[in-house]
Amino acid sequence: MKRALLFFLLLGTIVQAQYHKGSFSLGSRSTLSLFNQQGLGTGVGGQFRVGLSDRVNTEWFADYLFVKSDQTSRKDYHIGWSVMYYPWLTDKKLQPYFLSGHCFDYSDLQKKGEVYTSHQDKWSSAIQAGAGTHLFLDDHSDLSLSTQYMIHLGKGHHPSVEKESHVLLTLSYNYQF
Amino acid sequence: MRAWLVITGMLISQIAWTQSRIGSLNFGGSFAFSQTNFSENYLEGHADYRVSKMVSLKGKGLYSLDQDIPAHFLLAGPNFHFQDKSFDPYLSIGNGINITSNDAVPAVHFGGGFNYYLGSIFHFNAEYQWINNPLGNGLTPFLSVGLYFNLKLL
Repeated sequence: MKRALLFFLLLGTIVQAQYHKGSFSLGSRSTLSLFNQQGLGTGVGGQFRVGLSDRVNTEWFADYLFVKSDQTSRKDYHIGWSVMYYPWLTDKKLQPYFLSGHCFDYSDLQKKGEVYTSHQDKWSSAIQAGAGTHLFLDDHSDLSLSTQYMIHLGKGHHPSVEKESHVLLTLSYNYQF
Repeated sequence: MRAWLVITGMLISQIAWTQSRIGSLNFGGSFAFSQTNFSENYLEGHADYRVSKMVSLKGKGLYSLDQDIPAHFLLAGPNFHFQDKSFDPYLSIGNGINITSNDAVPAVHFGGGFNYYLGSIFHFNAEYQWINNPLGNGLTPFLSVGLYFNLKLL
């Protein structure tokens, strides 16, 4: 317990990385996809960030998301970008931000039948927006947690679904060069 | 003469013992035990690079020894260290993929463990971690223990 307290105290005293014009970082990310038609999805992916100014950063990402239910399994591949805006510049370990962007999505839905398993796949485009925060760990590393709402443009897999949308909760680790 | 060699060797060993781990690459293998729906025993290969006092970046693979129901894992992510000493406890998070005979699906993991540096060449590692697999039933606990090499690169 003392070690855990010391760890969090140390977090507040160390030199912290900040994003700025020309900064470049690489990272990996895990995503939870909530409120899908098929259920709770989990994802894995990667990203890089290129800073445009002290207040504006860009994030370029690729994700692989998987959702499984009794009768269906769905795989989504996202590749896209977001612009991050820092409304409050701070030198503390937490740096909140808003982000918004666009991605391309390839989706493959499998349905188990009694005899055959059917496939439906489609390409679509999506827009997403949300908010998050960096937690700077040292002069190169940060953890980032963000929540975004994503709306897919075009019809869903099922004809009755006009628009597909879901909430994405993403935790990423980033190393700044 | 022999006494001097022994004393010199001990001093060098002690210097290595007290060196910072920053800039060191650790690699090696463990045996992992799990309580899982898929298989019970795994071989784990693992490498990590200490980028700062608090953070190391790791990659690891867990190979299932149960060939009837194979479920292997490839994982990567950061470890967060509490101190830069011979006894080196840490927390770990990361993500990756779970590879089964039919599919490859996303996986996440988190846990904690410690390294105990035995000198400039070897260290002992023990880790307890939970790995989530979308094909399974929730989080699966793993305990791994192993002996690793450490190379000081910087």
